[in-house]
Amino acid sequence: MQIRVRLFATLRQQAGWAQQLLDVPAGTTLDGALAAIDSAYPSLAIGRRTFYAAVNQEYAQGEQLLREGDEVALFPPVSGGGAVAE
Amino acid sequence: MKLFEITAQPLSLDEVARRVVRPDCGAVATFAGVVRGTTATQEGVRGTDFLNYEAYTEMAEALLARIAAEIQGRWPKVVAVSIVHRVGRLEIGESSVVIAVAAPHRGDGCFEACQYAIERLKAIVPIWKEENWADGQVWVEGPRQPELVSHLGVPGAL
Repeated sequence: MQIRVRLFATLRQQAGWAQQLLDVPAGTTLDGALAAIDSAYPSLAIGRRTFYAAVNQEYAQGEQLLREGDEVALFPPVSGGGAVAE
Repeated sequence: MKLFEITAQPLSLDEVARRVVRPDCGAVATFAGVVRGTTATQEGVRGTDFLNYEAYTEMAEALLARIAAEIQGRWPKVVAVSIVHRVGRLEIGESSVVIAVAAPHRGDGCFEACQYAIERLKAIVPIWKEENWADGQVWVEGPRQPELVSHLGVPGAL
């Protein structure tokens, strides 16, 4: 089945792309997709960094089962706002 | 008129406040996050040239609406909430985020709700800023929220 992978901020910059379609076996979990992304795009080094993952615009944990057409987004910890102390 | 919006347009405090004005509300509290030109650090004062904001728009707008629902659970007298965040290049002094909360009376939680909204926004809403100064740039990462972190089981990734 096919899923859509989207990257943001540092991950997007590092990869040089914002979205890609990825073929994964039916029944793949988010963890499985992350492993597939890691081997397809080793320069992302997603095994060695902190990031958040979302499936279809919802934060998701690794055991979540993916379905055909799901959108998997990977991104660094968020930093919106602007006026409070960091 | 959208109450929860990611936009590339300049923000107006007054315009966002008008989004929450209701006939039964006598109090509107607002908050603006503004691009800071200088930041005091332990190494001295650091200057910023401009910021570049990026958002995962679809998810961000959904989470802004969820924050408003959380507010209405905590402060049930709050009648309306609007949260608008800008993306793209922002200069010093421009607003990156504007929040407006309306309630019947000032004691009905609108001040507290404004603060809650900005703290939650910074913790969970997928928006990032790239800070640019004279000789470089860096993506600012917020503090990690352990319950949101995904990783491949590498020790120390948290």
